Amino acid sequence: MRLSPSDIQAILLTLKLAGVVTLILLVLATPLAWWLARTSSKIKGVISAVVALPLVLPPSVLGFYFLLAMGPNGPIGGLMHQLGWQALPFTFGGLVVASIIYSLPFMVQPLQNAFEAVDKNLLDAAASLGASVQHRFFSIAVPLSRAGFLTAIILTFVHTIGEFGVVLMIGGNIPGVTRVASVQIYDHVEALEYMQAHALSAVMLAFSFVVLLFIYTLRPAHKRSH
Amino acid sequence: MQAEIPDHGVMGIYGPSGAGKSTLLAMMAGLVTPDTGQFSLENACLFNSAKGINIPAHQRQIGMVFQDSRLFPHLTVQDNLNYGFKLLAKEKRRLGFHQVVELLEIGQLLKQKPHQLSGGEKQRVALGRALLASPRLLLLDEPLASLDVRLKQQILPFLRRIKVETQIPMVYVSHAIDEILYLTPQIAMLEAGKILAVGNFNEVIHDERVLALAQSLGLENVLHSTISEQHAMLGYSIATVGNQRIVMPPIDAQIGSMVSVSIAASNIALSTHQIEGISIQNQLVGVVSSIQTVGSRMLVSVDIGAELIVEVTNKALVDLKIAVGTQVYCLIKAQSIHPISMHL
Repeated sequence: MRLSPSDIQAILLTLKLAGVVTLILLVLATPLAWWLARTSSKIKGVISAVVALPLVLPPSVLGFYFLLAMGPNGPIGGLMHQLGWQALPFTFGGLVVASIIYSLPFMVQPLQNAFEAVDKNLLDAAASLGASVQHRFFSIAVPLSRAGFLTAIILTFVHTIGEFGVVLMIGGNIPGVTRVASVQIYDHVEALEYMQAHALSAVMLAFSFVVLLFIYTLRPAHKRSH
Repeated sequence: MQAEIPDHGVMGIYGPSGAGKSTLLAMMAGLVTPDTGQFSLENACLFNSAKGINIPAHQRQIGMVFQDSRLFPHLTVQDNLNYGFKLLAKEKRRLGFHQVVELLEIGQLLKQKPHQLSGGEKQRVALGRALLASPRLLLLDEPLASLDVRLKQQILPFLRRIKVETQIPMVYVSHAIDEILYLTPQIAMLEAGKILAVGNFNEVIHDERVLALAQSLGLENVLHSTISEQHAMLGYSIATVGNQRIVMPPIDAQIGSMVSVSIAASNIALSTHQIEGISIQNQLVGVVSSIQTVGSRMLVSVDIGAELIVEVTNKALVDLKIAVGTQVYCLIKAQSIHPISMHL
């Protein structure tokens, strides 16, 4: 039971995709989660529903619409074509964009929960001490939401690693470009290479278990220390 | 409502729960936006609804101390104290870090986290944190309300120290009149979102509505006295107010030190002559300076060298033929005298 070079390549590509998606989502989802946690706007419900959509939709549905939107006749694809940019489907960039949408709720929701738990009174106290909105956010809200950030980052990373349907629809199966571990496993099974599929699956199973174990055992202890 | 606050010293805001005291403070601090009105500090407008001016809280330099200390739980005491201090340009800092730490005696706490502190320690740190941000005005929103009597007695002298040593103008909100009178005679009476009266307590108290309000909340006399004798073995202390000797429960303070005490108006009885063979220790002679009716009760002001308000029934006044100018003895049990602050 050994991993072939193409298995290693698929694992590295998967980690790269998950890493890039997690970083981008951290930047994009943090202000969105903050807004959702603090706003009393009427459109909060609509935005929350849109953010949560990827949780319930079959990934192939998402992938299908991405394909349409990013294709040469789609609104995004058409615009990119006019700008002279490369079309996104069947590229690593396309995978990143699709994965960002697909994993959005996994970043937003833990952050939103954590931000909602931040006592507004502490932020008021910080304001009376001269702290600007940004300073209050980074010096009070972020450190008090540490556990939420940890959960959000880990869940997003693991969830991106585990995606399959979206990848297959939008990325195809190009070695080194879009062939991530989950697709590689599918290929192995298709080719009846069960030992190879076994090896790669075992790696993913072990990795996911260790990460979840980390979340469920270490995090409560983290909280108690407060 | 309209009111002016002196640019030094303490202004007390007194009123029942729900009178709008905390909301008023939050508006001054910029944490709550009023619908209409205006607010200026040191001649600079901070809020004016007509002109659309609303300076955000963090630019007002108005410090606030809350009933729940609101220390940042993830920061040590030292980092809490430094929070506003570090945000301030060096030349704008009016108080030094060590000066404040010494003033509030919190040097041993610097390395601790807020959850390790007692209620009284938390409030001292919260006071220090607000002071280190060099506020132009310090708002105190019932800072002692969640503390027990013993802790109140320990914190109040620090507030007095802050008043004397920092010269920062303060607004002190409380529903405990004795706390306010210990710090300042300057008081604004608030009821149902309206200011009933502003001024020196001894003057505004003669306003019928103010008196009625104060009486309904439990009218307390506050006397500033000097400890003159200690009788620890016999279990009492003696303090003087003017030339009156007052027997008090034992107070742990040195002879010659100042002690403020509170006496509820309802715990004082009147007599037209000195009584012998009575267990009540204090019979303070004075002259009736005014009499006012509040509901079924009469409030009699007696000048004993300081003003003492005594609550009696109308029948008692009639029976004893007490009127303005009558010489009376105020009978006070030693046990109904409560020290507000032990150490000064």
